[in-house]
Amino acid sequence: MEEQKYKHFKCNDFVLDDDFRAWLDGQAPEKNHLWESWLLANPAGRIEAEKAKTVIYALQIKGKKPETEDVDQQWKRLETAMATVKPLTSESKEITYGRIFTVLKWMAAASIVLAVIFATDRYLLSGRHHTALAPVEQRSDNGQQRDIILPDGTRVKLNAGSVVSYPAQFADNLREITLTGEAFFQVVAMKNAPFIIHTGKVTTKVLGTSFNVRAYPETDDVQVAVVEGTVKVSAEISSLKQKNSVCLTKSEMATFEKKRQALTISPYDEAEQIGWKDGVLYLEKSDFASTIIKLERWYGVKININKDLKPDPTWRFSGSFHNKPLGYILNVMRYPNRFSYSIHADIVNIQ
Amino acid sequence: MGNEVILPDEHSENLKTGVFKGDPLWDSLKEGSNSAFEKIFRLYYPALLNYGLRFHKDEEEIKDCIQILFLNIWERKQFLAASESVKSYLLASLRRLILKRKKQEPSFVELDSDGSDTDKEYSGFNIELSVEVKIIQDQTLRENISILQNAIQNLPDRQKEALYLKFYNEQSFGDIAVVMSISTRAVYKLIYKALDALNRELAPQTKNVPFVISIFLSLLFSTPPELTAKAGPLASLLE
Repeated sequence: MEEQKYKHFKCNDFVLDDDFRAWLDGQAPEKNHLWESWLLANPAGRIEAEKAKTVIYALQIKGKKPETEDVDQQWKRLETAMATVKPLTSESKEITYGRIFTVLKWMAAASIVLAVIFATDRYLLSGRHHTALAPVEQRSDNGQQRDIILPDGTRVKLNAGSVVSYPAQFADNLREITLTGEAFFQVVAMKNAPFIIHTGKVTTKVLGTSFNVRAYPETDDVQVAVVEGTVKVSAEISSLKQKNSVCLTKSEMATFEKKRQALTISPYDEAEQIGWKDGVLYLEKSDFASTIIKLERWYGVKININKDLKPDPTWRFSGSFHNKPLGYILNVMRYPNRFSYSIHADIVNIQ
Repeated sequence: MGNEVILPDEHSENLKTGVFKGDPLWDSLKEGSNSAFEKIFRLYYPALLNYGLRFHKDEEEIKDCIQILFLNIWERKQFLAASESVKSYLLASLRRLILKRKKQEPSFVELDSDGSDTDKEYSGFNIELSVEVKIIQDQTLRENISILQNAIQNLPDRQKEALYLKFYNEQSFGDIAVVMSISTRAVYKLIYKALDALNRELAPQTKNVPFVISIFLSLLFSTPPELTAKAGPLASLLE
């Protein structure tokens, strides 16, 4: 112990002194005598050291040691994902700035983007040839988006209020998952193992691609919009006259209308279909009730509507909102004097 | 210590970071070693998970972030820069990833304060404090500790984060600077500001009940207050 060093030490100096902390912690019992005699001989230093001791005791930060099984499980998960990742090669070195290139590469390896808007109730896995392992279920709460990596390395971005479930381990020749809600997929290309997404009556099949699937329960339609590549969309349609499957390529969207029991192809607006990934809330001629549902999901709030408020049934709302606070949108909606609102944490009252 | 900022003791800083220089595991990873990658993952996973949970209570979200972080490293392993401190590099990368994803989440926290958004990049750093109060016999010390712990919880998030990295992770000022992407001087400022605030809580002028009692007692026994103050600490230091 360098006694001179401590002569003018104040409380903070003791707190930050590794030797002092080690001694307090009982890690240096051989220094007990040195410290004790120094403290006896330096009354001013002793007051500071006493304060420092209180501060150090108060700063006992609690941590959590993960279970060995958790570490094992997380390593296995990573190892599976690693197997499908092609490390960047040296030719691509010049453009390996950050993640942009990584994303482009993923898009190239997997060349389709697809968006589906979906109808009706929650769907369960269709019950065929499952592995003995219980399926994994990942969900995003309202007001939340999540990135998930599937066992084959496929990346999934879940939009708010969505659930995706998949087997802990995919079969060699088939990758099947189920989705409720909306998600953007970047599927790892595997020639002999098609990737199939079940969303109720509509099934989307790809070999390797990126795409977005929207299958929220309250909408009546299903839409599949392809940004790049080719995707096959099939629907269970009762009428034999209607086509029940279509192949989509770049810039095309398939719409499944539940009421008409029809599957049609059309162009689509990119902001509307996949803008959500970049924080854009997009509303197109949305009536009052569906606007409220979308806001609840996007912001993770509960919106209570006073029963005396009678919304105009012909009212429609359109707009694209990039990272805007909820109050901003409500102010646009209420203009000029349609209703008033109050926000208390995650509860919104409209009257 | 007032607000004066003391520059780091060069010698001890170098000794600490020197441990990591040219980490052989990191070098093997760059050469493509799977087993080195696994060792790195297993070695740093606990610290990464613990740190991540300070930003976000959702454990699954943090685990996803750690997966994405390591997968990105594996993809780019050939081009990894030599890292002086693998731990700081990983913590810094995880921090960026978590904050980026937090920012993408539509946030409604800012709404209830009239849309006046505070530090947007930063929304909370939660630390849990523990002390085995039972083993501390001294009543005054126990009360002071709980006053301080209360004060620690009320410190600004960035100060709490710096304290966490310093006293829980036991990282050097230079490493903390890397993790938080600020200068070493800024780390000193954060930590000294936090410690000064805690010092003020311990100052006798503040409503320190045990101290008032000790004055009262010392008046009773007509002993100068200073003497009691000195006798007390010594006794408990030597406990």
